[in-house]
Amino acid sequence: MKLYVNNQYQIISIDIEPTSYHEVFTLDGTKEEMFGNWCDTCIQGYKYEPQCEFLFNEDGSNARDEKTGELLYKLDEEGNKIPAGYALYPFIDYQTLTLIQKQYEDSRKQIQALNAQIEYLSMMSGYEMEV
Amino acid sequence: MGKIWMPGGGGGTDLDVITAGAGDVLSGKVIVDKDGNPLPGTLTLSGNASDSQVLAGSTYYSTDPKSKRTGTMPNYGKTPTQINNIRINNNRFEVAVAAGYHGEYWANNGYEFMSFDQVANAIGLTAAKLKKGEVVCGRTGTFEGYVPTATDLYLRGNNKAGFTSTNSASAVSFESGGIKIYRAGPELKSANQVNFTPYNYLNIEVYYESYVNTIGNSKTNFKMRSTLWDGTTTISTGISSNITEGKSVTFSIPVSTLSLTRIVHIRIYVQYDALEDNNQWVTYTTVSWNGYVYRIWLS
Repeated sequence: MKLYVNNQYQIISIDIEPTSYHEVFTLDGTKEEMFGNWCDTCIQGYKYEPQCEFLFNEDGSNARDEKTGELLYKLDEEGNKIPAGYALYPFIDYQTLTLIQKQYEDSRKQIQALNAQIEYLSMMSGYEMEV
Repeated sequence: MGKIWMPGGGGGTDLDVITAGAGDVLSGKVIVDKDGNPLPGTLTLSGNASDSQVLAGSTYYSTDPKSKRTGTMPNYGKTPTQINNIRINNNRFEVAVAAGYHGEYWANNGYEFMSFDQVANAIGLTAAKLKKGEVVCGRTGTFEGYVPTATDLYLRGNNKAGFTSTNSASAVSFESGGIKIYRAGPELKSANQVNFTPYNYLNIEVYYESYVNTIGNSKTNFKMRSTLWDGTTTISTGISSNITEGKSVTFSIPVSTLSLTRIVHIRIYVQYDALEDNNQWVTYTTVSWNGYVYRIWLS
C-alpha cells in the first residue's frame, strides 16, 4: 500500500498517485489491514508522520520548554532530534471521524436498499434496468 | 712439599696451609698453589638482581664483589595496602596493586584491600539503585520501588489499567517486574476505561530480546510496531525507530485527537524488512517476539 502525504504528512491519497504530493510511503499490508473499514474521507483524516524521541519528566509527562511550552526532544551529539519511527494517527477529532464513517455506512446501506428495490421493481415489471 | 725461599729472611714458608683453589679466588687475581706455582682465580659473581628486585633495606652483591648494594623494593609484607585502581575489562573485574612485595601477612598471603567507595564506584552502586534503608558498602538505599504516576497505565508490575491479554498465559505473563512476552505478538486489553482526552501521546517502553520468525532472507530494519484499537477499529499506530536485541526502546502513539474514553486494546509486534526469493523486499509487520513490556503511559 502506498500512502501519499502532503507537507503536513496528512494522507491525501492511497495507492493512486495524486497530481502533487510531498512524500510517498510504501507500507506493508492492505488498506483494510491498516484502516479496517474506514472510508476514504476518514483515511484522509489521518497523518503518517515521522516521530522523534521525546524527553520525559520523571513523572512520565512530556518535557516542555518553560517559556514556549513546546515539546522537548532528545538530541544527539550534534544537537539533532533523534528519529523514533513513524506514527499513523488521526489528526481530526476521532469522534468526528466516526460520525463521518457512520454517515458513509448509512448512505451505503441506503444505496444498497435502493438498488435492491430497483432490482425488485424491475423484476416485477419485467424490465431490465441498469443499476 | 714446596718451599718458598724468602731472600734475606729466615726459613721457607709452609704452603701446605693453602686451602684456596682457583674457584675460591676472584677471576683476574693470582695466588700460588701448594707447590708454589701461580694459580689464577676463576671466581666471578654472576648475580642478576637489580636494586628494585631486592627488598628495601636489604643488601646484596651483584657482579662487583666490592660493591654492596641496597634493595629498593617496597615491602608490604607486614602492611595492608589499598589497591590503586579497579576496572572492568575483558568481562572481568581487574585490580591494580602497588608494585612491591606483598605477602606473609594474612595466612601467608598478601593483604590488600578496597575501600567501600572503590567497590561501590566500580560496580556502579548508588543510593538510588538500592532498596530504601538497605546499606551496602556504606551507601544507604533510597529506591522505593516503581511508583506509578497518575498517567501510568502499567508500570513494572503495577497494572493500573488492569491489562489482561488475549494470548495464552505462556505467551504473555504478568510478572512482578514487567509483562513477559514469549514468542508472541501480544494484545493487551485494559479492564478499565481509559480517558484519552487530556493527553497527546500513549507511550510504550519495551525490552526487545529477540524476534520469532523465519520468513524471508537478509532481515533488516527491525522495529517495534504498536496498534491502538477500540476492539473494532484501528485508531492509531506507532512504529519505533530501528531496534537492537537486548535493548529497551520507548515509542509513542499520538492520541491528541482522541477525545474519548474507552477500553483500549494495544497490540505490540515486531516488524522487519526481508528479501523474498523473488528478490523483492517485503515488510513483515506482525512478527512475534520475546522480551518485556515495562511501561505504558499517557503524556
